Amino acid sequence: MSNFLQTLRPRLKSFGESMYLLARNKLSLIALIVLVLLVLSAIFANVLIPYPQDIADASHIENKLQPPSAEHWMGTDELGRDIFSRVVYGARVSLRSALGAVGLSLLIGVPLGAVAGSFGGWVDNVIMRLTDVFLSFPPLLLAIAMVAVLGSSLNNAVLAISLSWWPWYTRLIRGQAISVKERKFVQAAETIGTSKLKIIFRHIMPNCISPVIVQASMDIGGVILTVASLSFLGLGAQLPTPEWGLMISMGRTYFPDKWWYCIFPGVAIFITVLCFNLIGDAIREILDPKTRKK
Amino acid sequence: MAYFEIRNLRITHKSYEGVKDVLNIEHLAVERGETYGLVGESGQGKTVLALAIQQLLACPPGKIESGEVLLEGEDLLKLSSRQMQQCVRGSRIAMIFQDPMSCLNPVFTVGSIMTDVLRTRKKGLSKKAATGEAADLLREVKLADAESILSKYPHQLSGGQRQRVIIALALACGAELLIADEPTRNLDVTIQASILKLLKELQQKRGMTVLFIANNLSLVSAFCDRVGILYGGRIIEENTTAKLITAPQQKYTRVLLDAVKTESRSAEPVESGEELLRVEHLKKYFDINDEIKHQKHLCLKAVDDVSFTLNKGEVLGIVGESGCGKSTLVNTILNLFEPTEGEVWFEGKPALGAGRKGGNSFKKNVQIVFQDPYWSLNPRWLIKDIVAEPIEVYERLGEAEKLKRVKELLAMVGIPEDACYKYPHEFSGGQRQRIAIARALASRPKLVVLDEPTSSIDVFSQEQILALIKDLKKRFGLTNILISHDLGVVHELANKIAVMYLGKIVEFGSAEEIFRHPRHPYTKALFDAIPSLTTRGMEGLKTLEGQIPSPINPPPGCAFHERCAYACEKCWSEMPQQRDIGGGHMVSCLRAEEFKELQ
Repeated sequence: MSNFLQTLRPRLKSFGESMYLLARNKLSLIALIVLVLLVLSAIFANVLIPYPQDIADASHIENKLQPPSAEHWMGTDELGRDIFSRVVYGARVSLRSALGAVGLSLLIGVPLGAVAGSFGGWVDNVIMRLTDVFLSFPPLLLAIAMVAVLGSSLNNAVLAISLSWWPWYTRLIRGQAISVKERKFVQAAETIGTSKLKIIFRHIMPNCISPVIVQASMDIGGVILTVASLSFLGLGAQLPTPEWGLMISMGRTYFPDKWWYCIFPGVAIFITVLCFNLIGDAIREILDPKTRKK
Repeated sequence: MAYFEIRNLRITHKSYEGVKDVLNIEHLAVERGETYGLVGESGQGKTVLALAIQQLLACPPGKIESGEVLLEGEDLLKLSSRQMQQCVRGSRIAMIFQDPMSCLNPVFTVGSIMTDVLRTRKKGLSKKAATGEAADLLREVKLADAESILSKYPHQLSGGQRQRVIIALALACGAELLIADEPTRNLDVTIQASILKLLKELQQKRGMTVLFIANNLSLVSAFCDRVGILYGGRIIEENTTAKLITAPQQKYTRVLLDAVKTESRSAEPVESGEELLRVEHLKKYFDINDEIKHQKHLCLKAVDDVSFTLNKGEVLGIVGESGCGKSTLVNTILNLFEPTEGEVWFEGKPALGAGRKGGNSFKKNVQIVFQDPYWSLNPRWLIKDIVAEPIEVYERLGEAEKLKRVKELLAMVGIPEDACYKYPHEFSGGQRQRIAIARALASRPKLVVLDEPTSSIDVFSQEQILALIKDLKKRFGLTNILISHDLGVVHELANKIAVMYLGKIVEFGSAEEIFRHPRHPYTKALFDAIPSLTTRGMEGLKTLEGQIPSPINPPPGCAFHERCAYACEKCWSEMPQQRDIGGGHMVSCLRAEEFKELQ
């Protein structure tokens, strides 16, 4: 136990340093606070929202398409459901699918990239040509095609996005691995006689991961957009799931007369994506001192 | 009033750990035409000062708290950055940076870099006139083929040539104050000497004032009129060069002086045991297939027919300019590279191409300590895992036992136990090198290769590391191979020396013999090019002209003939063979016998 605590101490210290660097930049601090609020509201959505039954198939036709008011902060939709409740709950849907998609692509992409970069030769060739195949389709089109095969549902959309997204991480980490494997500590491990796999996964990969973390945190924003786009096209979340893209798609017919139906889910997407991008920038600054603002 | 003056300059640096004083100079004055040497090790604030003078310091995290930097009575810190750019930087103050490899933009030719600078400074200068002027400047810095160099890209030039181009750029605008920030740092000793000579000559010709920043007192002793010692951001001692060297006042100055004294130290004699390592006709060629130029089957002969034997308990020092194949030789012996030809025997058994099992026992017995402790330890591992890495490969130990071994090893190299749970970046260079040594010893090796073990750590630690190496060698009866360009270190540790030139060993023998009676002209030139504390002025510094020929197309005959002061006609055509000239002293020079009186 004491060993564990001792192992933890340096990590806590570097966490403290990261927070210090983050706090120096006001914009990223704001982004972080907003993001924490978003995550919390996604976690506690059930408790927070005023009309829990409205996230499902409830209908109060008598109340339909009301403008924002004290009872319904963001107005109501065509079935009289509270848009505020649906937008807050939508954070949970979007964050879960975005984290799922990015996580899955990292799981596929990172080890493949590390192996390709470290081995080189034919292994590298095979893996990289495979990524080329995936990269030669526009990601959204590839995802649409995959959803068409798998059937439209939110989980399938997440799967399709991960399958079209992983090659970017593979490329990124391969490039890093090629330079990291020339570092002296890798040579040192080779002279020590450490096995090749251990060198790849314990020496090379941890040292390649920083740019991938930056990229992934920025990608979360992009993936939220892609999920929303797929849902907008009817290929992702299905009714009555309160997914932001789907809500915009439904509200489109009432725009611009009943503007609140489209605008509020749109603003939610906008704020979330912006925050993830700002946080991505901040993480880059922390991990790579060279890009720190003068 | 002095020409250039710094008063009460205080610079701080803000970080997570808090605000730290990095520079605190009460007074520094340089007279017109003087050469002032500022000596201190890395981290003492030399570069911060050079940048602060020109308003190039990154703020934040740096902050100039107070003080004045006066150039002819004008306070540079009060000028706006626009004024600095237009009237000071380049035109009145010029700077030569540390690393010639990275401070020329690789996408422009030398010509366009130079004309660009010239035309920014002198408005209305035509392109043609600028090119002419650039060529004149290159001739002034003794680059023979000025016109062809103008059309080349930086990567096509050698380190010495690039540094000359940078000096030419610094001259381009007629600056009167030249700040040279370790101008010879990454250059070989032979090139270092010629760059220093050039700088001195230019200074006298143009009447420049030079602020020379160095990390080594022996460079300064030859070059500067007055010297200031920078330690912890303060100038702790200042005097004329001769006085400072003969009568240092501060302890730190004495340590700096001791670090460059080579005469007093030499390796203790050892009783050589039986043969441990035998290298026979080892060759490592790298194939280069340049398909764009349709040149095929070229090969770079990095290591060309090298043979030697090393007995138990001996220390072999390998010396030579960079690119001579020192590191390739060692990497090939260590099995990191596949040799093209030749054999390596370890304890009478073949060590190369052995099966995985045999290979592993060789790897267990041969370990290496790398030059740069900043890169040789994985920054994301805890110290305990770093040191335990070899133990994990060769021994099956429980966690508790492993930790005990790690602590023993750390204690052996003088690192406290609580280091186990820290990361490498929390240690200084010297401490990291100790950790690297602990790791190398963890598998209980018989042969430890030291690749420039002290060149990237500060002098205080250098002494201690050398003492540690000697101590461990005695305790464990280790055999060492030492690669170093620092002849002082080689002198202190090595019993045998191999001098390498262009992939070949040109001289091999006992250290004492070679230091006292070098027989190969190259060895002699290498020794002469190193400035020592007794060198006063530039006349004592001999230079070795010319570049190292390309190992892709080595010249016929003796590879050294193009630069050799003693070359005769035969050297141009006949390849000298290695010969024993008595007592195991091997030389490959046709005229070795004539050079008995080479000193």
